[in-house]
Amino acid sequence: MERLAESPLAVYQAHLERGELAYQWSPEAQKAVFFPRVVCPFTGSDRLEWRVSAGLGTVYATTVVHPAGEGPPYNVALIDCDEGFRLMSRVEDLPPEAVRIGMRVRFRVHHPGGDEPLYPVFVPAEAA
Amino acid sequence: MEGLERGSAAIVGVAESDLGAVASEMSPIDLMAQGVHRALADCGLRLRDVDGLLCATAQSRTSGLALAEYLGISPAYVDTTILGGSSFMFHVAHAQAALALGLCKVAVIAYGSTQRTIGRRHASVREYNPYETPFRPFLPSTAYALAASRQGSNWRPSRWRRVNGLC
Repeated sequence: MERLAESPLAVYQAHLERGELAYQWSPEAQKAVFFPRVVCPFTGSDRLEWRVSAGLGTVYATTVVHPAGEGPPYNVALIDCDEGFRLMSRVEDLPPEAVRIGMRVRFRVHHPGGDEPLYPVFVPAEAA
Repeated sequence: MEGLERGSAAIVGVAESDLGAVASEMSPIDLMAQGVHRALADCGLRLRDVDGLLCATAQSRTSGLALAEYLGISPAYVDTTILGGSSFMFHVAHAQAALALGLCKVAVIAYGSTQRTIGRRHASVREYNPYETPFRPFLPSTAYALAASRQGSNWRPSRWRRVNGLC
């Protein structure tokens, strides 16, 4: 394995800075890989290509967290992106308990502010 | 040797440390030692009989060393495999393997936690996962809730509702 110039996380974050949701593709397994890593979990190969998602997906699982005395309830969801990878995120622009499994959603970049890194959130596809 | 022989080892002593809100300033190692002491009393063995030590906790970086030093023993076999709640099932399997291989004769498996007293925030180091932490999952509960949401989706609604007492 060649010495890496950039970590998988740094590449992923750089894509988010450009408004893109990036994932990896394993040409040997013919499968999408997420979270980004240096070794393919399907084949053990270090051949992983970067791709940019179209940003469309389906809610795979959903829950609502009620933080004890720390603000309003919020959604936590697992999203199956159409390219075949799954990630943790949340669905916004509707009450957290209104998120449903099977709901079609679209990616957008969330800017938490300060020095916090950007991260992907989702909104109902028809509203985006 | 082909794998482990069924019944080649036996659990001979079992005990609990103090539980719940324990005496103030008790440490996880205090509780482990208490459990070990009581488990040995349960089966009539003594501390000097112990030559295998297995333990796990998120509150001590090198709990095997800490507990061995605390108890004043130098066990030939030490194992601090940490795999969350299933750690101790692995410890049982590893202890059986160590006994079968003759690495030790008496293995003790110990756990201690003061999370009830000091709170979950202080009981283990927060691990930052850049792909999950930003979404503030309340772990492990949120992971179970996400799995349960799938269960509700996969099962026929009538069965889901019946199992959960909704009809």
